[in-house]
Amino acid sequence: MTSLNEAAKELISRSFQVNLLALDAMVQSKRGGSSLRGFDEVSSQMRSWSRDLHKELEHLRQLSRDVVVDVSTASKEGHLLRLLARAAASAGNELATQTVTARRADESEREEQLKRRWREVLDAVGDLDQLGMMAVVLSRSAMIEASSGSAEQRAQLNDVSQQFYSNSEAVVNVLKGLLKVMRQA
Amino acid sequence: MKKAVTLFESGSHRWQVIARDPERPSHLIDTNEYLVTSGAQVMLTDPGGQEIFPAVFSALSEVTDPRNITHIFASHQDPDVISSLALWLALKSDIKCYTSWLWCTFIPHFGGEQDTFIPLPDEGMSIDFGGRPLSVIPAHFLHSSGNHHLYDPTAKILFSGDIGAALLPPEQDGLFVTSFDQHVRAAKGFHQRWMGSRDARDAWCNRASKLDIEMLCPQHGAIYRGRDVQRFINWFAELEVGVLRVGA
Repeated sequence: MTSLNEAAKELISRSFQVNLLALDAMVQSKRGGSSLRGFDEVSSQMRSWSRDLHKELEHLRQLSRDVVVDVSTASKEGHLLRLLARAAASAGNELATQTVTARRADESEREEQLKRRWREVLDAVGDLDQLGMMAVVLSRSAMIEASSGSAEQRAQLNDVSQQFYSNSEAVVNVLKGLLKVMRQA
Repeated sequence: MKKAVTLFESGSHRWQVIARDPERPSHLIDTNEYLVTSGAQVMLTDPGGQEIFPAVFSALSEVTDPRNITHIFASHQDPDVISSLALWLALKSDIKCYTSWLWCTFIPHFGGEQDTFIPLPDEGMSIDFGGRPLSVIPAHFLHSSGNHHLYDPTAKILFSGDIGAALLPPEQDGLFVTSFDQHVRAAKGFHQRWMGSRDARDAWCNRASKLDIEMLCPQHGAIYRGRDVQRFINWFAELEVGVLRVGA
């Protein structure tokens, strides 16, 4: 969860940077007139992308909080179950044995729920990875659209496109690293 | 494992102590749990910490069906007193727990719902326990700021929580005090450090002196019987308490 939180921080920072860049690019391309309509459209999509990334990250953070709660509960209940099982074993008492059996069933259910939640987390990171790939594609489109402007505009818009690209690539790299760590867990 | 020993029995009214666990790891303080039975009512006093629950449960199961437990009495909030609560409630969810009102929102961190707890007022109270009266005796600041003991006038037993407690060496672990002078040497440091208030101590000694006590039963160490009960009260009344560095 530490690497997930660290990754989320990095991604939020990238999302924020892309949002600002896209806003600035939209203003610039509007000033540039009809020749930069394509760049304006791509910038607008980058802005939507940053909002989507932010929303998906919030979802992932909520899932990770749920996992932490589930793991803590499982750990506490597991400890109590081990003590109850020791009591049942040493006392040979029917009530304790029944309680342990019922709690073991609860424990199995908790383990299944935890597995489901973990799959949800992996899916959420997978969705984010797709989102990252989309940003790479969009930033390449931005590079193409940047060539539609005048020489002066091209220099500026190329710079913006490069920044879109480097942020998108960073997002993809962070998510690839996170997925690798999580799949090993 | 611990063993249950009967201290008093008259008809269906009974006091049993669950004590002395030779398998207890040395990093856990030894505790005494008392099982009070009166008709259909069964109360366990200071049921102990989580880690000793298997030993307490096992010993208790030999003398009563754990389903019969109706009440728990927690003299105060310490983990060695009541951290096993969640485990007892896992076995029987309708057990009610008497404890100082002061701890009714603290002890639920160990387990229990709002309706698990019967708050004890500072001045104590009388409990009709299976047709027998039990008196809840205030013992605040001895050592906990919300602290009660339990007196049974029928059995003439005072469950005295940490008062009377002694940290006994392994070679001196009899269930009853046999040599008072030797015993209080093992009790002295504990009382000097844990009991912080002379006023509270004086109030308790005054209160306890007025009770007809045959056995003074602490949560740790040996049980005082007969004349040793008043000897202990007198010894405690003279002891310097609130000593930070015992022996310094």
